[in-house]
Amino acid sequence: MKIGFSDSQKKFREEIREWLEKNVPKIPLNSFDTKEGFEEHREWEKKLNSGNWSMVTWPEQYGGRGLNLIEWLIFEEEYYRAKAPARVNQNGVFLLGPTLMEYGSDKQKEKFLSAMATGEHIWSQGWSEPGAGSDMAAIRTTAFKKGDKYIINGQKTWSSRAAFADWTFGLFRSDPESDRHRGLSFILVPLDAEGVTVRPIPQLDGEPGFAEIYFDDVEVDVSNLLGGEGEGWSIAMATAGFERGLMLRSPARFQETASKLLSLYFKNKDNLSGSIESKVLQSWLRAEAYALNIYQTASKLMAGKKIGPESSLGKVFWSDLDHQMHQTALDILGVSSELEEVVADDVASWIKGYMFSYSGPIYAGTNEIQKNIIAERLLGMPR
Amino acid sequence: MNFTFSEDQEIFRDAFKRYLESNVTPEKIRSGWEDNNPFNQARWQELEELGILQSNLDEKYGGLGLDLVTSCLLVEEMGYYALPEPAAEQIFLSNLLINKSADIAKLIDDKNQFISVTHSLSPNILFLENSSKLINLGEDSISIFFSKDINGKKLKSSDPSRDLTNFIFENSDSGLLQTLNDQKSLVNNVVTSGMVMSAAVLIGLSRKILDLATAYTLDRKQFGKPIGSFQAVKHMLAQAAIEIEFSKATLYRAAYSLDNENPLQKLHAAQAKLQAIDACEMVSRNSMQAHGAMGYTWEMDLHIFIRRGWSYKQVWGNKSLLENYIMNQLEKDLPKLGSTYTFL
Repeated sequence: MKIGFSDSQKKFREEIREWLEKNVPKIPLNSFDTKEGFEEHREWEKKLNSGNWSMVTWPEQYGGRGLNLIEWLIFEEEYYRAKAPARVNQNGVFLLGPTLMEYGSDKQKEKFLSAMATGEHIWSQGWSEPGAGSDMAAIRTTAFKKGDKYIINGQKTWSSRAAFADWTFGLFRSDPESDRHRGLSFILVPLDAEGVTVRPIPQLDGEPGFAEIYFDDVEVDVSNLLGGEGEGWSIAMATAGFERGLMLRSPARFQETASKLLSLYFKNKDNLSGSIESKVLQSWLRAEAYALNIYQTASKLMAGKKIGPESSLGKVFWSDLDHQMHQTALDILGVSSELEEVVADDVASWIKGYMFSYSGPIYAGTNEIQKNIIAERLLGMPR
Repeated sequence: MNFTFSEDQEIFRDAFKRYLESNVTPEKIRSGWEDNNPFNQARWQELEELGILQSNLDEKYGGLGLDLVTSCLLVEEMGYYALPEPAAEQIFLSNLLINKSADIAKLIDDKNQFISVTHSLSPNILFLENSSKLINLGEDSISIFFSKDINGKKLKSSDPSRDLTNFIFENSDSGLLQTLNDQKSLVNNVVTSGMVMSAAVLIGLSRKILDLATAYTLDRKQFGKPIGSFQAVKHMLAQAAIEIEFSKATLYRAAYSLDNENPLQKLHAAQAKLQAIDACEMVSRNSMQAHGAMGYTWEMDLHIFIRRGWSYKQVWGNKSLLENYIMNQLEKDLPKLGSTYTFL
């Protein structure tokens, strides 16, 4: 065991810190769930890419830096420290990108990876349907093959970023005779194709962070099939694994929130009760515990060990933590916490973050589904 | 950065685990309780023969000189099997005192005997009659006594595996071998080590308690199926598993910081202990609930482990003390908080 950073890792930290200090917009961008903000964030992705910072974990052959997990954690720490813009293309960078590298054809990699890296293609997710949420195998949207096309009919919902995105990826039923997780295919669909209707859904903050996507005889070239026909379920499981795993929710984000909460607490502490103090303390403690756990997990992965259902433990932990931290901040702010205004103590960002924290235990597999996975696959309890 | 255990560490831990599996069973623990003699002298000797008791003792004193990260793994297993003998205390308290102080090493000529260590955070003397010497830590002084000359009052613990004696040290020279002054930093070091030790015991206990609960829910049937198939039960135990998982890395980092005399070692130890307390509380509560009325009986082995947690949560740093310490520390270090400081 050796806990600490090497000289080259420290040097790397300096390098990214310097670049971010020079390049992070001084005035925060508009939310990427507005038309204007979406384009601002697309520009930011392009900027990141110009410094070769957009796809740091991708192998060098695909335009990345080939960073290992520890370096990636350092990158994230600096990214959150610099308060750099949220990643509008995280569906692409962290979910589809690695999936394409594993399952895509050379042609697909060529077509999609660099467009993803520059922000030319911003991706949305197309998993859920009105009748297929936690029970994803109940998918009914069809993609039947006709000549060299798939003809898509049906409806996807809760598609993150779909309101303004260029493409969506998801699971479609390609075998009319199939049911459940058999006969599903992983297909990439341009959202400007004829027959696609996107209906944005305003989220709790009033902005269309996700959307319904209607498919009405949408024709997609068969070259947009990822992996083999009917193999969609196992590919999707790999994607969901990436999502639940380390890449999407790095500890830095929660540690930064915890520090912010501590500052807020110490500033106001004379007027606060003991229960607030103990929640503030818990927040910091758990954010640190999460970070230490992730560094340990990253070390294990780098030593060649695999993680599977263990990633469900983290999903429940960070989403509960995120909610608790924001709830505590609002309790400290008291009557001003409702104000979506730029006033003292960064009130607006706390209420926004608080709203968003309600989604954590729901998206990427609800915490109830995660707990089933933990109980059945880690503890060996019966289905 | 390599936050993993070496193969040697895991092999040593696994070998010790095999020993505990067959030699520290609930039946044997209960028989110690019934005889009113939880400290099994034969087992203490076996622990010495296995190299466990002197695992972290310096080589110059006949020890193996292993680090506290390794000790931490061993102590976790002592918790898992509810080992009644105070081997965890020997490793993290008295061996540490001997390693760090030549003066103390000179006074302890029987290093294979149990040396009981007390401090205001753990004032009742553990296994006085089974110890050869007693080391009492004051605020900045350290006093060493002959155990046989201490006449204290026996106390009954809620954990029958803990033999406790109350003794008022103030103004008593009975059995006093020597008092060392100006020992503040060593005392602080031992207290920090005690936090890590008790945290490791709690994590081991928590793992065992959850294993017992999981096994019970597979076995116990209601409505025609194992109660472990019901989501209400699954989610309770899944939450317990989450609490354990997110206490471990904090614990190992604390042991690592002790080994490397990290300036923040006490903060790290306090974090580890507080996480372990919270984990053990939730795991105990949810696991007893999963057992239903059976969990509330003396007959079921569950309580052997749960009640041990009650003690270890309180000794060597309890919740209130740890929370106060951490909060004060955070207020002082506020400018240095945040993700980029995790390992500084």
